[in-house]
Amino acid sequence: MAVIGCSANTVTPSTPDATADGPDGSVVAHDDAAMGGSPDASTGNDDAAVIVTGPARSDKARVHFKGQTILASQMAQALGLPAAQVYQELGRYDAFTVHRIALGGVEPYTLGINDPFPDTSATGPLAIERIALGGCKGRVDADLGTPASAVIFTGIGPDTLADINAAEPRQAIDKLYARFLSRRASDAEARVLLDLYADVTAANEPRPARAWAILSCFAVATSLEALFY
Amino acid sequence: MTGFVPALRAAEALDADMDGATNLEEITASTLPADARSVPRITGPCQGSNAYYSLCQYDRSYVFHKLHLDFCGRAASLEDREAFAGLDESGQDRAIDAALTGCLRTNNWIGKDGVVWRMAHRKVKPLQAIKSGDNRGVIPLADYDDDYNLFMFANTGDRDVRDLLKADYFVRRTDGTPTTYARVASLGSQSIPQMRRVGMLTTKWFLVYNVMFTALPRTAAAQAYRAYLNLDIAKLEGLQRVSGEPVDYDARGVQADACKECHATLDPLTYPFRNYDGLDNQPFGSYVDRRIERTFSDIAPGIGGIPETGVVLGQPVANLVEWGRVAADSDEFAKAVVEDYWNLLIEKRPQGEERDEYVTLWQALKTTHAYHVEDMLHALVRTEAYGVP
Repeated sequence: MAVIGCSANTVTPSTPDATADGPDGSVVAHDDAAMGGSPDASTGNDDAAVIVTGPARSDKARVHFKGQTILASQMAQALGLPAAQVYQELGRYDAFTVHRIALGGVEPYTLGINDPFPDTSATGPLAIERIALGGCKGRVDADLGTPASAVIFTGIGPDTLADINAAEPRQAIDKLYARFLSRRASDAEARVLLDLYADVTAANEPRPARAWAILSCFAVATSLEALFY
Repeated sequence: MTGFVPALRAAEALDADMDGATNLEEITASTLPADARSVPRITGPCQGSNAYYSLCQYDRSYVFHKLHLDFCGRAASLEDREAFAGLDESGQDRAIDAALTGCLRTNNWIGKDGVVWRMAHRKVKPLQAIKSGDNRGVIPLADYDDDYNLFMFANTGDRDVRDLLKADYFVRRTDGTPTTYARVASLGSQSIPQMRRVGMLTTKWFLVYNVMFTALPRTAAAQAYRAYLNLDIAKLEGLQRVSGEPVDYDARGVQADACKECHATLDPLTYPFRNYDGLDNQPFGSYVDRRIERTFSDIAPGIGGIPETGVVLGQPVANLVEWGRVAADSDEFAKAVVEDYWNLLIEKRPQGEERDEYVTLWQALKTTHAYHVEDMLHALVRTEAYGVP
């Protein structure tokens, strides 16, 4: 999951107007293997003595949050859903419109907000996770409910998976990476999501295949790579 | 002034905001010496490997991915990215140009509420409650869609962006896939005669919103200065004192010590607006000859002395039309146009070594690119500021 914060050991400070999230423009070091980075990366945080391996860091570290309009387009395209139906608050209102300002959008005509807020709002991460979870649930339920027209989760039963290491789960992961990140998942990245199934069954989830599909989709959709560029 | 230069020299080595960079380092890097959150970017010898992007040079794959998000509003597909990766360098350069050209035609870029449209918000400053035309408000006074349409027209296609301050025409928009903009000689929603038009500065919306009921509309002049030259007098930017000013024709007390430093620039900047009406005469937003004498003669004894001549960027101008021409042809205008797109696509302020690329861009906008924004954008995506990860 993408966490907006800072780690003094791993970040390059930037200007207050930088489009990277966080008041000091910094991004926390994350588990690269789970988030789509090098399989050799290790996790870092402020409290541990950390050596971050994996991809070298850019001196510029100029990262842009995709924001309301790009994320709306991306989610719709990736999930194969109309933009206004990715997720609806109260079952009626397009969530990207409801959470427009929190997601870096503007509303100049009635609110007088001509520019995006320079810093991440408190509800921004909550909004994007809410939308991603709702959108992923919608996609998974549609695919599992009507297998003949499945878009991402093809050949995956609604209840349990006979074999997590069969072709279909890996194909679903590949589709998630292709649709959300426009690239192929590495074997290590796929392994992380496949191993998630064991956690789901250990939690006695009544429909583990469905739960695994939603969580895999959510993990990719809310990765740093999916939310920033 | 005798102590000013030594004082600056004495402050060079200090660190006013205690962020680790000296005041001189911050000023040289164009960061803010009084803001600890603004720090010059530390760049040393490029090192480290990365399987995804080259960190030490312009990376075409990175640019291909990024420009799709910036201009098309969505990432390139996996198939497109893999096809791009299979091209040689010249092929990738052509693919980047082709992708950018295609994205510049999408509604994400040129449509209503698209990227370029949103850039105009802080210049137009819409207020739906007093909008006329489509989606009119409760008190319809003027239609800001005309302003957005002109802004879009000047910033897209093969148009001259200086028309923001020079246009004597209007623009009609047709929504569709893609949205199109067409030049028209007049609109029923506008009141200024053609010979008095000054692009975005004389639309009915601009005059209604910024002149309103004011005799000497300093707000209008300041907004024009801020929006199209990126000079904010409220932040002491763009001050060029005119000798003998401010005269204070309207007896607003602007000759006071606390006021005159700004008003010595702002008042002569405003004089050419003297006959452009906001809400005092019908139709709203029209040109009224001897407007001050007819409508505001009782405000101050000397108010009728407000000239139509003025001064913009240190140059005398005979009227607002000339004001617009001088401003549009200035370096400040070219800098402002490029800086708007730099802010949008790279970061808030060109910094350090990247300033050289920013300077090259705005100078080329005036020359090589003949004030065509899209040509400038093709050059912008070739900069290291844009293309080095």
